[in-house]
Amino acid sequence: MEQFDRFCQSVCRQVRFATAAERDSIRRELQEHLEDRAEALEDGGMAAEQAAEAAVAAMGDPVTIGQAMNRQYPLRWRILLGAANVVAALLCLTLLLNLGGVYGVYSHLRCRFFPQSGSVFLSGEAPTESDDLRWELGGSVLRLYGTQLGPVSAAGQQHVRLYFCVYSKNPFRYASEELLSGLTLLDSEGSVLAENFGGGSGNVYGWYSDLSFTLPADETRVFVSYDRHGQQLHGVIDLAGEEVPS
Amino acid sequence: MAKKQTMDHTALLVLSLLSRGDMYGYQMIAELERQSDHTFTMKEGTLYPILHGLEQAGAVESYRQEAPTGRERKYYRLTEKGSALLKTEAESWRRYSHGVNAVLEHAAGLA
Repeated sequence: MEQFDRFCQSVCRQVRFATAAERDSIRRELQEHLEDRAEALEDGGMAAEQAAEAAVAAMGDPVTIGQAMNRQYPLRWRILLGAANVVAALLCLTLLLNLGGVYGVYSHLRCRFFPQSGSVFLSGEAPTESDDLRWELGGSVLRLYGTQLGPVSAAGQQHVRLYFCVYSKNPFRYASEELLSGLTLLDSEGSVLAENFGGGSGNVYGWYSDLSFTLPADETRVFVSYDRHGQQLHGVIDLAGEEVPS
Repeated sequence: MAKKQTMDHTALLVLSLLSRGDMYGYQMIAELERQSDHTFTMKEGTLYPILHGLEQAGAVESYRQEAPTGRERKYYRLTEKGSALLKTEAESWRRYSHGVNAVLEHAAGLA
């Protein structure tokens, strides 16, 4: 009966911390009582509709009953367990959403410590000789990690390819692609050997690039230059592998 | 004088009823009316928070069973804990009501 449903819902609405099963049990028990009372009144000669209303009236105020019932179902650890499940689910979601950050740190570490494998992963390029020259600019690090020297031609020219990477000192920050794209290589007379218009390939936490040029075989020094946005970087690379005074 | 009931007197009546046999809610209401010569009436819905409270306290247990009417109902059974509770609360009530009666005997204007 509709009155019975309304009554039961009104009671159950007051019971805040019971489980769904407990609330359903309460609802069912009250419904059955109402049915029994209405039937007894009908047996006494009352019409069905009237008996239903009288049965509800005999129950009392649903809100008062509900409040008294609510006191029998206080917040218990089982409900807290339900809350704990919600917290755990949120933590999983946070972790999933931040996996990008975890991969970022991985990319950073790869660029910082294993640039050979990092660059091969991205562009398939790998230098024959490994180097480790680093320059810092602001929070970024520019690193020469490899050299490839070609054969000397009949005219005494040599093909050189230099491998660079850039990463941020902070593993959680993006690397500066700008630093790579603004890189210029010069010879000892100040002529431009190569400019890195192509920027770098990478994935935000580590950028890789290589620059190629030809140089007379007897020239061993190459100058690295960056000058943008009020920041400057100047360095020297000695292709013969001699220590360059900084 | 003994202190006032710690337990709601209706709860005491419920335990008393159940000590004679298992019952379901509506049956308890009908039985209370009958046993009290129809002088005892209460808002029927208020019985259920009391029953659920007694169950949470471990004084009663519930189960579902077919009633004499042929329909399934939620029956309540007095536990051992409930039986012990009935004894102590009944005694408490007797001492209290005896104390009230003793004072009333001295009141003026009563027959």
